[in-house]
Amino acid sequence: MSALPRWLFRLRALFRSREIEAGFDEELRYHFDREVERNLARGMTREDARYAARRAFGNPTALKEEARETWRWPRLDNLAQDAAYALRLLRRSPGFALIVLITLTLGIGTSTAIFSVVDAIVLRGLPYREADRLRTVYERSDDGALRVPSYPTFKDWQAQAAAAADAIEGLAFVRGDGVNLPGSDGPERRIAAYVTPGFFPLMGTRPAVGRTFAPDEERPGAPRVAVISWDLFVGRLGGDAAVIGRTLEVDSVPTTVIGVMPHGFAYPNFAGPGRWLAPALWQPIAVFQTTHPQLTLRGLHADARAVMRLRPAADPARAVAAMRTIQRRLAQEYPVEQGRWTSLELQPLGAALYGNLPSALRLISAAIGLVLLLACANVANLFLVRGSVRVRELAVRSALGASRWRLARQFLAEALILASLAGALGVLLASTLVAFVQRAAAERLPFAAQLHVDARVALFAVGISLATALLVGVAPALQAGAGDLMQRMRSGGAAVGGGGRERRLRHALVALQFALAVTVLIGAGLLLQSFRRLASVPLGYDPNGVIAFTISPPSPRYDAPAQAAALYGRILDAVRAVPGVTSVAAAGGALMPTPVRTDESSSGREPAQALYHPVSTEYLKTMSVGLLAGRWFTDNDMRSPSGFVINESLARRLWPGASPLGRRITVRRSSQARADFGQPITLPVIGVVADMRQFGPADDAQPEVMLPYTLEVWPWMNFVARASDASRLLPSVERAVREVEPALTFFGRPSAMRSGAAAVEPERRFLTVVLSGFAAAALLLAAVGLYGIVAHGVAQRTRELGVRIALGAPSASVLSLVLRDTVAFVIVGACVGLLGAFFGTRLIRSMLFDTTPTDPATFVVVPLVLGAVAVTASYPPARRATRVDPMAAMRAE
Amino acid sequence: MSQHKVDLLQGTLDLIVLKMLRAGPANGWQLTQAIQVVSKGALDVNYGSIYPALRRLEAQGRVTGHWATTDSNRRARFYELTAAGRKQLATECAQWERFSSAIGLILEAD
Repeated sequence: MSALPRWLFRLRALFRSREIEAGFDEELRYHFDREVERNLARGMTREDARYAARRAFGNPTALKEEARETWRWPRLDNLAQDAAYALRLLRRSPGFALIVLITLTLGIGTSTAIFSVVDAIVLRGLPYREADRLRTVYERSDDGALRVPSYPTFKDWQAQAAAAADAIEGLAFVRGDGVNLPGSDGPERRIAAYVTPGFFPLMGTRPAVGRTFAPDEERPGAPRVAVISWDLFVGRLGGDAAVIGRTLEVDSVPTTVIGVMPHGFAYPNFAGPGRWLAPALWQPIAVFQTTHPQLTLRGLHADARAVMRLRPAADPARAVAAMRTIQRRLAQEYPVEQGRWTSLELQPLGAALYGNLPSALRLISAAIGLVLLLACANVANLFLVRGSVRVRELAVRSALGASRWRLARQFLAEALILASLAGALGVLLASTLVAFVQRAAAERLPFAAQLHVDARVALFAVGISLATALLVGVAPALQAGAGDLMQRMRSGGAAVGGGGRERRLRHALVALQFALAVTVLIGAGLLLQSFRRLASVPLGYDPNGVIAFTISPPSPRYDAPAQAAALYGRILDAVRAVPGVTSVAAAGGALMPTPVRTDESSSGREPAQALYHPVSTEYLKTMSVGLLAGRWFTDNDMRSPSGFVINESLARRLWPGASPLGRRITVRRSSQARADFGQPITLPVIGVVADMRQFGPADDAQPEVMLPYTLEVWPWMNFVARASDASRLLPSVERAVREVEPALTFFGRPSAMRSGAAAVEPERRFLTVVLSGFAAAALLLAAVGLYGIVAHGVAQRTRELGVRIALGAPSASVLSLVLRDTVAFVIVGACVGLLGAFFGTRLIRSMLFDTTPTDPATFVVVPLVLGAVAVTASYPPARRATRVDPMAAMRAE
Repeated sequence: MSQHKVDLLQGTLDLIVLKMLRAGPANGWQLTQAIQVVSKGALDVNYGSIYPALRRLEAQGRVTGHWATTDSNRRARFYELTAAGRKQLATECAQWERFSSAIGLILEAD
């Protein structure tokens, strides 16, 4: 018979181990029988024969064990043994296992969830090649204001950029505009981005399907082509690669689709307040120039972005310095449009797209690091306590010859079992949390679509669990081997806490837990305060019960201003007729600052900037804004405009301390789609209204000038309507508007205006919610940890407590005995945490609104809350201590 | 026959078993009898330790084992050398020769 290779032998033996063991027994028995027979033949008695045979043979059990090593893997066997024993031990103390499991699951789950989020935003970064070299370029005025450059300015920049070729790799300009695309039921209004030549190579992202523009497609008059976005590709055009070469009607012009950008490429973001608008398609800027010749005007500063790519390792300051020379020249050549704008500012691309989120996420990551640390500290403490309870068992095993490593392996097995279970549950928890965040973030935050728990994250969770297990299991294992064996076998569980050094370590961990909990709680408390204050900032108008929507009339029927104005009037009438609607108004304008001149300021002084706001007669009533002086527009004014209404900010700016009524101001027409763009209108001020925070509670009110919408008719219009039950009336309003003109497109469907907490910007809301969640988790963990410590302390000292109670100790003294040290350390920990928070919270100063980093209310409330929680957590086990039955305690072990 | 029993050195049990099996297949009992006879009872060894050694050799592929019935109609496990076993025997014999002659030289030197 040929022999099998060794590993195969063992593998086969794995499946037949019982058979093999029985065979070995039979072998030995055969030998034994023959030996007995021989002894009998020599004349021994049966008993002597057997005795002699046994002696000659050796220890069958030892032989079997030795033999067993040949057909099994001893290491595996030991591991299995450890695991089985660990499981038995854990089952016997379910409380411990449960607490550890909950703690680790919370820690691992939350950290994995936040890792997914951070990964989606910060780590995976933006989908552009070397996105850290990209910058958004703004013009910067002498007093720090920023604005987007006009197209002619950009062209001058491009000419100048060659001089700074060592710092600047390239520039691109993107102009956005609404276009009508064929939709499922009628035309849909989407965003198109018109880009200068070289935009796509500059951004560095390759198209997912097809290609980007060829040079001769970017010339004026070239056949119409477009690169479409992934969302449009999948959402409207079927997601089939055959879309390349198909024709798409863009504003009723047949356009050939030549490429599709990959998922996630969404530059630029033309977000309005609380909205995220990515382009549905890109076209060469030559197309836009053909239809909008005013692109070449110096005064146009809207709906555009300028992006720059720096050379690798180039200093942005060098680029700014180079461009500033041209800015200064432009300021001299065009004093009206460029007068104050002599500098530039470069912002990282991420800032424009994600706002403050990356730094907020770093804060959250720090918080979650703390919470995870807390969880590990908790669990380590529990394991240490457990280790000290089992001192006697370990001493006995040590005496029987178990090496330190063998003892350590036991604890590691327990820790690993718990940690892997917690890891699995943690990933489950993380998936739930991420799904929740995704739903909550949905349309408001750009990364929401990319959020999911993927393999890398799961790996991260597993890594964390293993690291935790090692960290936590190793401590008691190391302690297992130390100390005098005899002493430990005798003292066993009776020793109070198992030694001074251990006790101090455990108490230090309790203190650490509370310090961390305090820090996270204070951070969350500050953010909650900010949020609360922000939510209650008076907006200057009442958004409750107001429905807002935006419409765009179809071309070419309503291209003429008169036609559009008539349509808006009909819409106003139609919406007013909807039962439940009390008033409706037009509220147009792109809310871009426009220069306002008075008669006195025609000399060198810079003009004031004010928001330009064409409105209708019921605007004041609909928005519940107060009239401070003069009068509001009437229907007469709509027919023949006779004046402007300004807000108090503008009044203060132009004529501080004096009444503005009757004074004349000049504004320039700012509807870029109209032929009369830029022409001046001069009229007297007929009224002053209260300030409105148009951009949300966080930003101050801007100066505003309002005029009848009939004076300058915009090609699209916002409407606001006040109704008794706003949310229920949304469909009726939409229906009423559609009935007026079925071919119009909704740029923003009717929705109820948000107020209070809902009006706070979504990033801030997200941050606050998440951090509060972590604070709650931290508090829970600290409470659980405290409960565990006190409970174990009581369990350990049961005998001693029994003796004391038997000797007549009152409940109060028992309580104080059990809680004394722990309470001391809790207080120490809380103080350390408060101190840390005191100095640390200035790091989040930028995220606070109207709240100092050392807000006294927060610093007082948090310790109280913590104290209450600590008392609640430690009371039940402490009370159990007072109820110990002395007889049972002294008998039990 | 010497009354002084010699203790078995570590690792030589395998060598002995291999050598005994070169004569032909045998079961554990037969091997122990053979060892006793050939060494004239001088070796003092717990004969039970043959069995783990046999299993070890089998796992290493030096012998193969199979069950068979003895002449007394009982089941016993019989082992026989493999080619690898024969090779191992030759190697270990040579090693033992070198070892014992080296020790001999040292002991004889004056």
